[in-house]
Amino acid sequence: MLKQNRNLRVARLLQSLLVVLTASLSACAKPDIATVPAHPTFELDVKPLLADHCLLCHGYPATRGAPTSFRLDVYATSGGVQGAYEQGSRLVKATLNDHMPPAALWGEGVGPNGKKLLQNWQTDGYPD
Amino acid sequence: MTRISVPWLFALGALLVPLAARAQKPAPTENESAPMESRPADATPVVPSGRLPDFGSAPASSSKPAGLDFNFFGAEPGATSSTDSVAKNANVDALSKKRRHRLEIHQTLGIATWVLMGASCVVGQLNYNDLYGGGSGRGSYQMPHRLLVYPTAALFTATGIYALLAPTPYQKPLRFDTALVHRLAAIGATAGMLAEVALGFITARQADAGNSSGLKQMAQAHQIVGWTTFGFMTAAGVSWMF
Repeated sequence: MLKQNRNLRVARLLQSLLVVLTASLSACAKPDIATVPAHPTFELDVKPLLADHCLLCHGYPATRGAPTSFRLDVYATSGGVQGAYEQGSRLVKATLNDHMPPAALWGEGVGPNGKKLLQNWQTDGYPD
Repeated sequence: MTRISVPWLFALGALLVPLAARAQKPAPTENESAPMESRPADATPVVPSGRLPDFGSAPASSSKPAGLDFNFFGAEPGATSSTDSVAKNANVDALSKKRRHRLEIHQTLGIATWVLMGASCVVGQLNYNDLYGGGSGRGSYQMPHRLLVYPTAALFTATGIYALLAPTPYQKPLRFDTALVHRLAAIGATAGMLAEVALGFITARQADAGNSSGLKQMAQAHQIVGWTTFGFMTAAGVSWMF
């Protein structure tokens, strides 16, 4: 009886650990955008999306180990640091492949509409 | 051993004697009588499964048949030298040894957990200062912090499991002593650890998602709960020094 109670307590402890872990893995990302503009621009459409998902690390200065060779909070190169226009192709590719943001691996990236927006931006030639 | 009540020993022995007889391995002790060893194992009454054991039956060495010979006042100290008391004493000894062995492992794991948790707190504080406290923001302490917290959580879990799996051969009345302080501190540390895991995962996932809203507050809560948990762990360890 004592052994059964101990096993029950251990099982309950492990169960509560699993519940806590599962609960903590709930959505931590900003929600996906509601509508996808057909012809998005950087200032109006892309920059707000990047602010929600990318600028925590890829702003200025770059933080959390992000490369300092570019920044995504500006459109063009400034002070020798490349902007979003120069990095547009790389930015769209990493996002569509779920390489960025890192939580995209767990399904918490920019979302389907966000990806479609970036694709449209790329199709139009990365307009400002 | 001196705190074991005689009725409890008697009840425990009455429960364990049939099991010992079924296994045909009577516990070897110094006081074991010769007739018990020479007697066939099937002479010992075995309680059928699904029925209550006959607590009032006579000792196994006696030829008196089991019946309505109940002893409502518990066995007298002088009358416990029979086979069942020998068996139950041997069983309590075995459980006590197992308990001591597991709690020694629990102690070693606990000290290792305390050291790792302290290192996690220090590196976590450096990480917080770097990312939110006006540091470089390069995230130089992120990976060291993550490498420390995973083994800390694993060791903490193993420590707790060893404590929970330690057998309890005898009951101990609840009273305010170092054991109670240790348990309360361990419960606090467990609650803190659960909160730490949740807060740490949420904070890291939110940062990985690039979502900065409320991130500093989450990290701050994670930091405060982390140091509090370390305090509970310290209290749990220090309580055994007094």
